[in-house]
Amino acid sequence: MNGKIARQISHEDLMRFLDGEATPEERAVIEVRLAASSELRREFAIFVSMKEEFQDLSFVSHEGDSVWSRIRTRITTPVGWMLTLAGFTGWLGYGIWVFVRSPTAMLVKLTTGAVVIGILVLLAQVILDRYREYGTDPYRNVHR
Amino acid sequence: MRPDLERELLRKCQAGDARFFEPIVRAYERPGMRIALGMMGNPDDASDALQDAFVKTWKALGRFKLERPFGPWFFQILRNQCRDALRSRQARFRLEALDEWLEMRPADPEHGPERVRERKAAKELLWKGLAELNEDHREILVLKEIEGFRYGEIARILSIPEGTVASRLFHARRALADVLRGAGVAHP
Repeated sequence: MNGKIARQISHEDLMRFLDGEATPEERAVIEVRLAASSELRREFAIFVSMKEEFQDLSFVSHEGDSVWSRIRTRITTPVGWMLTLAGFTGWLGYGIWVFVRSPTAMLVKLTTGAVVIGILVLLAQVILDRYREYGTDPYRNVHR
Repeated sequence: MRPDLERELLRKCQAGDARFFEPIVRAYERPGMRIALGMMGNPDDASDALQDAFVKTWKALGRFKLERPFGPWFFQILRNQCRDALRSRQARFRLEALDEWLEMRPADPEHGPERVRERKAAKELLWKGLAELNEDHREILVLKEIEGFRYGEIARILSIPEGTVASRLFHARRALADVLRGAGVAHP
């Protein structure tokens, strides 16, 4: 049947006719071909039938089930993190600068520095562990 | 959504204000979900692909030219996202939970429950038939038959000439007809 169509009208012409995209001149030519060929009519009827079946389908409206809240979280979270990290870095740098230049005794500076560095190392370790776990967590896409 | 309003919202989004992205998302999420559902075959993966596509769109908005129509650009991103997801191991085309999303238009009540059963079976066969097609054929049928895009719009979304749209539609429809015939569907 395909060879027959190809000899008379192209596949593209037939599709444009079916989908209402053919020009009036093209429509006239295809209508003549359809009238003359029962094989072409049968082929065309199959396409029309499938098109009608698709048109019978409709999608259920899921009102109130917008994806916006999840998208908003995803596009605003990185900005929040960047601002927090930038602020934290600046604040930490300024704190270190003030601390180093202060007239406090060296022993106090060293012990205080050890406590602060220890807390930061522990915090970084926890964040790193959580990040590694997230990469292999099989339930990460499960929402309550 | 009016094109001038959409352009104004997109201009504000390009300035970095995420609040103005909400009406854009709400305007495009339903057609986007229909396309993703047709491409992915199940609501969970379709929703994931849709969200990923919106996030990618947001990130790429700076490169978007406001004089161009937004819809085909977004649907192109969504289509690429669906294809990427299908190629990855995270998703595969499967027909699940579609009854929640898909229904036949109400049958003429005079035809009774037999007709309703027939139409339900036809819906399932149609979707199973789509599942059997390759990605190129499935996506073009989804864009044409489910979303009703015109050839010019499909050409922009798929980045192919309009002549190729018609040719690919023919082969997709013929492939679907073959699949349905193989499943025992009697066409006229």
